[in-house]
Amino acid sequence: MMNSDLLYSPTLESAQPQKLDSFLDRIGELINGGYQPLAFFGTDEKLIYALMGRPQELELICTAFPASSQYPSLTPEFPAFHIFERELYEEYEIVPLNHPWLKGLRHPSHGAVKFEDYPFFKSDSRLIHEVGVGPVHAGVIEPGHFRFLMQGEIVEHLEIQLGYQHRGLIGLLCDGPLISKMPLAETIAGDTVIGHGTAFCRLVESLAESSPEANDIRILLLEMERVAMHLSTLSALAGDVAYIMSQNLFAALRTTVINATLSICGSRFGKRALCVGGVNYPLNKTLIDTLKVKMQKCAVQIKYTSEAMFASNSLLSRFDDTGKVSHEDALRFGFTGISAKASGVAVDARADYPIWAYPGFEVQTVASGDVYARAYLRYKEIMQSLHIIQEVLEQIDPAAPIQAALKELVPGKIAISIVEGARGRIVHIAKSKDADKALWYRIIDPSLTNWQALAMAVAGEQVSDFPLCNKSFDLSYCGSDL
Amino acid sequence: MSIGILILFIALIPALWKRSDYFVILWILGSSFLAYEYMEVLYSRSVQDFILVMPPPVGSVSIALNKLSAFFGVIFALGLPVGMFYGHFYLKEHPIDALRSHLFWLGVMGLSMHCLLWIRHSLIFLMFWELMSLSSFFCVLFSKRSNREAGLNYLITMQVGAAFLIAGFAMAYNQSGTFDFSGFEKMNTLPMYLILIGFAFKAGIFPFASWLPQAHPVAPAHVSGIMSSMLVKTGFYGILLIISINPFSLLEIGFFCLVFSISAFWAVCHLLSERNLKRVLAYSTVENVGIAGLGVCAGLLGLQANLPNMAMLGFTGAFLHLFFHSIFKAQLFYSSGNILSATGTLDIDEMGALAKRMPYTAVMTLIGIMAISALPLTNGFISEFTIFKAMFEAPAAAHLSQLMPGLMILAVLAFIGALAIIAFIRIYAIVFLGSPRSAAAENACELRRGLRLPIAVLSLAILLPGILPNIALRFVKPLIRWFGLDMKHFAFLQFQALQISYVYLILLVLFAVFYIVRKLLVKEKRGATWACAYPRVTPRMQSSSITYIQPLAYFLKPFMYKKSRRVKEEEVFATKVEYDEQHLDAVWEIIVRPVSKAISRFLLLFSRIHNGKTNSYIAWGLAFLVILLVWVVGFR
Amino acid sequence: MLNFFQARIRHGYQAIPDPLTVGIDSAFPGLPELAEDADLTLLNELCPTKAFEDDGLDLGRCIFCGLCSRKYPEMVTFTPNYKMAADSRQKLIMAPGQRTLPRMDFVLPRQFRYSFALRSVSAAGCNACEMELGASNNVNFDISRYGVDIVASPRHADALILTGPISHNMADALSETWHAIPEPKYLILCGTCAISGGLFAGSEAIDRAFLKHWQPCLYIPGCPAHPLSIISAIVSIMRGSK
Repeated sequence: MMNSDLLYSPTLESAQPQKLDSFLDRIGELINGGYQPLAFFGTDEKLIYALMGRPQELELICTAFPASSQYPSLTPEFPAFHIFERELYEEYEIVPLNHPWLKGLRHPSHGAVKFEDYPFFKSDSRLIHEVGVGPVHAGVIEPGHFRFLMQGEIVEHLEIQLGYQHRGLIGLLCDGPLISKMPLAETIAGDTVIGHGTAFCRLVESLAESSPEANDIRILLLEMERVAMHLSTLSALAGDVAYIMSQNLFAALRTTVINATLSICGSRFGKRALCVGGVNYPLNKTLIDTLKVKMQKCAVQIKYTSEAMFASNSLLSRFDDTGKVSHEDALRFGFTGISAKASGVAVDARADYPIWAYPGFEVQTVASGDVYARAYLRYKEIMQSLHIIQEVLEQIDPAAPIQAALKELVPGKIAISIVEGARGRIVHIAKSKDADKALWYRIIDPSLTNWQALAMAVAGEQVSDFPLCNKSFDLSYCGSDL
Repeated sequence: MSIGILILFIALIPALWKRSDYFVILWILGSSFLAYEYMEVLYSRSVQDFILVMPPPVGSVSIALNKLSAFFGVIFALGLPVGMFYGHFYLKEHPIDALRSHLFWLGVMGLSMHCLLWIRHSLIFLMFWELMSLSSFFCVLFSKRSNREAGLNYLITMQVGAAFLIAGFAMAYNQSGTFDFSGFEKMNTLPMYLILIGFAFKAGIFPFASWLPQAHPVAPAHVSGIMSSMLVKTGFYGILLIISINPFSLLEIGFFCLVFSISAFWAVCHLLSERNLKRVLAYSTVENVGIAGLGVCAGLLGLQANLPNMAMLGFTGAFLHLFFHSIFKAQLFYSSGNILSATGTLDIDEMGALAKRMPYTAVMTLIGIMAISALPLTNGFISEFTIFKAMFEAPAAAHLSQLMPGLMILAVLAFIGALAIIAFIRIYAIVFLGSPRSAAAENACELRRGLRLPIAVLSLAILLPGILPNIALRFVKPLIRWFGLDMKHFAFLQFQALQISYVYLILLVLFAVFYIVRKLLVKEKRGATWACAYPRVTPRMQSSSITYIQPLAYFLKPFMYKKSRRVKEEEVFATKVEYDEQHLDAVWEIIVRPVSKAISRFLLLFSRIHNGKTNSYIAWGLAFLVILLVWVVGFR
Repeated sequence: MLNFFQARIRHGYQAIPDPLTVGIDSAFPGLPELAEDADLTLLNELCPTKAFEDDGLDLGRCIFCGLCSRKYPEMVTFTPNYKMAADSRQKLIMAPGQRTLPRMDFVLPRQFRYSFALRSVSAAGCNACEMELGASNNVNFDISRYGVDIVASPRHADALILTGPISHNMADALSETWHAIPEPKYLILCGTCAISGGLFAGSEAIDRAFLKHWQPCLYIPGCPAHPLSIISAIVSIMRGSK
């Protein structure tokens, strides 16, 4: 059965800087060996780090900033690096030579490319016109600007300009004792509170070399968050194709799930639930029993609603074959989460870099890569998560301690934590400065890499299908803008 | 013949002295005389008729006006001087080297159009017909820079049409033994259809209409205006000439319905997707000729089915539409000329926001577009309304076979009308609204008064009969009587027209009251267009012309002939995206062009004969005589 | 088709009959109460947003993380009262011993009594407030029943409802949206980030100059603000608080 031992605790010794050539060669070798870049970034120590991973294996390598402030870009050969290299260019003005898309990413005030001067990709043809949408969209959603190159009603090219949500969160994380930054970690993406929160907690616990309590409650919350987010997306997807019944049913079911989360910790999003070392609120017997019944009921209703929805011809005619992302592209660009799994790429941090044992866990995938695949995969994942939730609820011991005593951070230590959030793989990586502060802190939200998937999916579709495609990925703006 | 024609003839003299001002003054003077004359014929019972005796084989030439030719005469006498007036100022805006020949041929074209109406003798008629074609060809080729291919193809098409006419007239002569038009009565089927096809070439009826969209864009605005609104009508005049004196079977009427429906539908499909402003108007001419033709069909159908009301409404609608079309089409062509002068382009994808820069032209064009889309308050609405009314009489027909064509026309008309509205909304939105798509559109400004005055006059001519339709009805009344149609129902139509005027009056008053009250009560505040709070909005962020019709074009795909070029180059990311498409005229591209190319290639084989050596010419001549001799001797 | 009806029937009636009076799970951290003898300096040291001022707890800065109530349950308790809103910044401060927020004086003009259109702007909100604002209009909470509509264009809006601390990059877009709303217009701040900047108040990527120029008419605290808080706050300015 499931245990709460830490199976995979990727605490790494800080990597020794390599020469630039061997650093780049090593990256090539690793990618050819089946590794994916999980993170690639510069730090104030004037080092470029690359975190490469494949199931059960991680490798962190680094090199000093090139003296000429430029190096041959990895992107032309390995497109997965494109967004990381843009980030590096923006933050440290290190130019990846021959990068095909070297533009600002978040436009902080010190950025290399000013916000207003974002150089959009253009076409000279008179019959290609542009459609600019955002930052203030029609619905209640976060800001971002989408620029379409249109051939009539057909999207030839989509470019996404983000950065509107940039809040300087990383700077705030490194400013002050890391342990007090829990509320901040919960706002990395307000809809992935537990995902980022768990990653943050795991990271700090690794830096402090202590093991947390109440891992089962964390799993419970994490899976409940996944269910809630997937339900929210399914509801919105149904709404986008005017399938009103499912829109409302899924919305109501999401309310049930997040209200269950509220009954645990007081917040519908799971804020205030986690703390470094464990969780803040215990689960008593009554609550566990109520949750079991509620989740069981939810599972049945979700099953009925989804079966009705995925049998509706009018809905399927919009979902099928819309917004396709090929398997090769998903691999090439290193997409994660739903965006990858719906194209048949079985990447899931719960299987690849497990921090907890999920007995009998199988990565759910759908092969077709279209909106239908992403919608149906969400349904499959919901059912899987609800199953895990039931198992965890069986396992939770109401009497067990919920918080471990806090230790001080080990200075100069690099730690990594990887959590599968609702949107995909969340990577936190940090180096401690002294007993309570971080020297640098890096957050790689799955959205950061996955926005490219949306841009690719929309090409060739009618512009009217854009909201549907966008919703099917349901990416976070603030998670990638930080 | 008449003093008017004489003055128009004299007008050729200042043309030779390059004095376009005197030319225009003389044209206005002559046309006034002519208009008076035509009106007299139209309203009085007497018919001017005198006979010119000429040496054989011509014989006696009857020179006369009947009500039909007088009706078209009025259209020409009113329309041509406006065109000439506009042309005078247009030529100032676009100076040309060959002003003398242009004015001369312009004068000849107008003159021959008038003369055609007087002639009742097929040989002389053909002579003026050819003169008209030739002179209009020279008018189209107005400068050295203009596209010769389109002009030449126009000439060739006209010659092919003339060939049909010659064959038809010859056969009619063989049959009746006279060149006079009276010999056309109760013709055999073959010569009649040859003549109808010959006229169809000029009238712009599918599949013989391909020259229109090719010739109009290259011609100067006044010439394309005159050609599209009046020259084309000579073809329709010919058709009506035949129709007025020959009975038709139900099958034939059904066939005409089909031809005009296809013609109008074909035109409207092209006009939807066309991006050249003048070509849009040219296609619209084909569409409107089709609509007028459908009105004629309704009239014939009414006669056939013994529905006097339907017959009267059909013919009335057709005559009104021909008359009104000559007004609003000329107006739109002159407006397009102003747009071309201001922006230097006819590609609508280069325009935008002209309403801000040319407010006057924008309002005028809006009136023209309302008329061409048959919207209320304009004359186009009145004529199409009458044709629709005719169709609604069809269910009264006794027999299903008489009912069906009527209902078919009704459906076709409704569909075409809807598509035309979409097409012209697209044109207006792209040309006048939004923001400028090119530097040329950005720098456009209103033109001189001389170029705006004719458009204003024509706009008035659009609105006046649009609001007071009885004026126009009185104009076609003698014609209807002459055709022997039901005058009782005509009186009722006049009554209904009066009702329409009253309704307009009430609505206009209500609108004025509403407008004034709103002006007084509501404080209007204008802000920038909401652009999702994005600060750098560019003119590129406007729908291109293809966007408006792309979803519709998907359904009309079988009727459209599209050539597109799409480039998308990608490395990891896109490096180049390009797209261009053209909706072409399938008849032109698949039939006319290849055939004319094949002909010229064939004729090129003989170019060696033309080697410039006198002795070889003599040799060819001798060879010809020998062959002739052998043939004649052998034949014996 | 059958499973469609099956799903619908099982779903039952989901709408909350009266969102203005409905009870909420006691775990919900709503309106906080400070004990008379609460040591505000001590609490302020603990607070991640330094929400404790000399005269009480500033709800405009409180992120309801519960740190204070967990550590000093005798000084701070969060009651499950979701009716938290004020029409001025000053009224958001809960003095020790205070049980309710002061009455709101602000009432919208009569024409907005049954119809009030909101344009939402997320200026670097973390998507929690945005989702709660969206949820206010879902089948459960259904704010539309009071005539409140969340509209797509600011041209159709009567008020701007702001979520998020206003990032530098979003500042211009926010003021442009505000200027696109026709008069009369109102500004509503939803969530702690919008009211005070919350956790991001000290970040250099935040630009809150917009709020210096324009006076909000309604503050809805919460991190995120609960749909019931949003509904009761908006309805109370439409109808006037009783």
